[in-house]
Amino acid sequence: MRKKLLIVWVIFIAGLFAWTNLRRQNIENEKLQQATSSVDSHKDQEESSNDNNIAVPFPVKSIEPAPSQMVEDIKNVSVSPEALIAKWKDQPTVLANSLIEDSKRLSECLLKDLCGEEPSPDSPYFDKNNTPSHSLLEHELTTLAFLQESNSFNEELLPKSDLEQMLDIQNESIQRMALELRLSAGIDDQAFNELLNKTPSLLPQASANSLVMLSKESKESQGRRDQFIKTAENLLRSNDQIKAVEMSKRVQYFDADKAEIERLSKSTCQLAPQNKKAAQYHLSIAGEAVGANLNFSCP
Amino acid sequence: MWTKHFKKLNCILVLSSLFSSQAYARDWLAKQMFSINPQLEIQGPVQGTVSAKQYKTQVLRIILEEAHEQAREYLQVGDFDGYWGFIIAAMTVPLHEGANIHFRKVDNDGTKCQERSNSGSIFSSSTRYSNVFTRVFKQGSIEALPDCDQLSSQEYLYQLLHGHDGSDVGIMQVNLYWHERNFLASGYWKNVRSTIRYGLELVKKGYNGIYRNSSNYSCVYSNGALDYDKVIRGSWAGVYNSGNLSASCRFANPSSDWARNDINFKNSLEKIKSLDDASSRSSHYSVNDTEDELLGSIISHYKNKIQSAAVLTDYIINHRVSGTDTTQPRLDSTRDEPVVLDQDPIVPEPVVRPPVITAPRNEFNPIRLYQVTATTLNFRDGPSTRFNDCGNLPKNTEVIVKAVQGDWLEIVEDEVLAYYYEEGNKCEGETRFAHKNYLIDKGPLFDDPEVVEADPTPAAAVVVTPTPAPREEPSQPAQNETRIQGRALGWAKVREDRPSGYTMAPSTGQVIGPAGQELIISEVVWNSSNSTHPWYKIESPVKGWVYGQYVDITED
Repeated sequence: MRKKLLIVWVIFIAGLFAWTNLRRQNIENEKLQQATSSVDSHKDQEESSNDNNIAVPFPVKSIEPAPSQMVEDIKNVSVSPEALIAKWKDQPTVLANSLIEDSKRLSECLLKDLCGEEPSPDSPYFDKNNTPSHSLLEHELTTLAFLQESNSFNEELLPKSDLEQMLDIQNESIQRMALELRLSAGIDDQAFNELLNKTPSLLPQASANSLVMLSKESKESQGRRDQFIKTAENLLRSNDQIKAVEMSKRVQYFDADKAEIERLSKSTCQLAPQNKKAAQYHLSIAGEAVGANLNFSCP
Repeated sequence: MWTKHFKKLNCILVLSSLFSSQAYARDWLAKQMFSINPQLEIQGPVQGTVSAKQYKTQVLRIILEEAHEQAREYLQVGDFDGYWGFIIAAMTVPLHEGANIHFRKVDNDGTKCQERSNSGSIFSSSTRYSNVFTRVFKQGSIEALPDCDQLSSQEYLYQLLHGHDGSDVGIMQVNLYWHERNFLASGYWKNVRSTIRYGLELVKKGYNGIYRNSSNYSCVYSNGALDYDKVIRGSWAGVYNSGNLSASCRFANPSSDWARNDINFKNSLEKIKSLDDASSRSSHYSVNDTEDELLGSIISHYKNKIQSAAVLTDYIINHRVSGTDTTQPRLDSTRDEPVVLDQDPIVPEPVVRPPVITAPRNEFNPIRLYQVTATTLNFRDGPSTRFNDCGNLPKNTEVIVKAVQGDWLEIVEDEVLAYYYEEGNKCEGETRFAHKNYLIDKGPLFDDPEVVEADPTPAAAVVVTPTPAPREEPSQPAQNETRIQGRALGWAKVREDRPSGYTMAPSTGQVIGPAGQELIISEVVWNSSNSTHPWYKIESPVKGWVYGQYVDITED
């Protein structure tokens, strides 16, 4: 009797194992189909693609079409931004255009459905804000930032609205790089206000960094500066207290005067003790640069 | 880092293999190793190349240095509870994930290289993993993990730890699929320190996420007070094991699908917490005498919430452990064919920055000239904002600096300083300090002719490594501070830090440039094995990190 039970048990386990494997393969096949059917197909590029979800065909609309090898290199995060630029140094504009186009594609598919990425039933791990498609997008933006810094392409090529759309992706690095690229193209009053309004909704480091980058622009008029300091105050009072701490660390880059730092110091009282300690320390250090002596008296 | 249900069972087996001498346990470890191409350069401690005690000491040293770096932001503001909490988390995770093993060296007896691992067939049921595996380990100028038949002539093998299904690698069990770009492609896996740093950044993300917004996580409180054991457990359960901060309280749910993982992590934490007992240390974490004593003190500081970190910062400053960043000798010397060199080797960067709080006073010899960059810089009678404000130095004022203490520079009392005292100030004593963030280094002042004569080369007149005066601080080693001169090759953005993987640090909003601008550089770091230029830490005329493409080194 025991033997029979054991045999039944073994068969059951084997069946379960086979079923799990089949199911996993089906899920991956489904994802492959989903990824390949969601975009226009370019047969040659499809064959060279590596991953199910991130290596979807690549829409090439540049004035000068990107060589397929360039397309492949762009989609391979193992090729560092420096190596990619060095390899295609004779075609910087084609490279920039290709990066811009693919980053737009990635941004759209991430916002739509995480480019098809789904949790696996076998693993507890699923970082919906840092999938391989997020990594690829960040890689592309970083490469663009390298190109931009070395003046290898015309900044007018950067699509401002696409970069602003990327700020809706909940990934710290993407938000920071998109902001950097957006600001490198220059901003007018309207764009300044829009970016400043957007700042509190960004992730902690990105929101703090946004203020750092808008600081210089905020000095253009008193109205802009008032709005700027008000946003900084709001961040210090944010429900997400990481934002308060991250921002306080960067007040030293705001080029703030004594009155502004004293004003900010009054917004630290409601912070949790560990965060109050951090924010007040960083504000004190920023205050050193303007002869301030902050006392942080809280009711 | 984060796979299957029974992964942690596996983890226990790995742990047991470390602490047990039984043959069956060692076999389990053998099945969890990739065998590395002998032409590949690897850096850091390798189990089996030194005594077990020395190996564990080397790994502990790296963990503590890197943990201290990550936890600086708590220590800097005097938050000792936050600091010790993170140090304990940082010690627990590598022990739990990889039993403190990253690389090992073994005799190649014909059984050690696992074909299933090295061929990639371990990933046969997952395209996503096999694709990453092929890109990272099978392609490139050197095939990092060749098939076993290509390694059969090797007398020894270097091996890299992997999880039971191959998806996670190394001491921090970093997942191949989720971390291809910043961990694998950047080459961090080839370096023990870089791997630990990368893993601890993730631990910090979880820890800080809970700690800063602790009121959102009721599971980390006990009797109304923040319970640091629970913060540590949450930081692993959330970001590290789930990839999701909002899953941090998973550990408090006994019926969660991953409850077994969380219980196993708790056991690892308990093991670390037991190290204040000498017998527990000798059975679970046997290290050299100095580190053995230190381990006991660390746990005691954590448990008793001692408001000091001197025990660890003093250790980091005053003690050295050899072999933490060694480039291991390659194992291909018996080969006849020419060796293909890895063209972009990782350059290790074991920079130990001076710890904050209880920082020693390091005297400059010779003294140095600094210039104020702030609008109105306070100077005080002590190295903290808690000391009295003596007066304000206007922008561009040049002052002479004789020492550095933590983040504060000690200014020479002279007629310049005397001019800027504020009326009615309550300053005491004779030493004056200003925060170093707002002073840029203009170079040394050679007012002692003997100093100039001591070095006949003209370059030495400009390039100096400040050293502490031995008579002042006999117990302190020379501060590891370099000064290199360079020039900007054009305009370039300044960033808060060097990159992590390929991820850029935030910009400070400042720039260097135009071309020709003189720079003073204090640190040079090669970020990854694929870098074509290093990153430079600029001290003057602005502070921050700049990519090497935009800098030309003139003197070093």
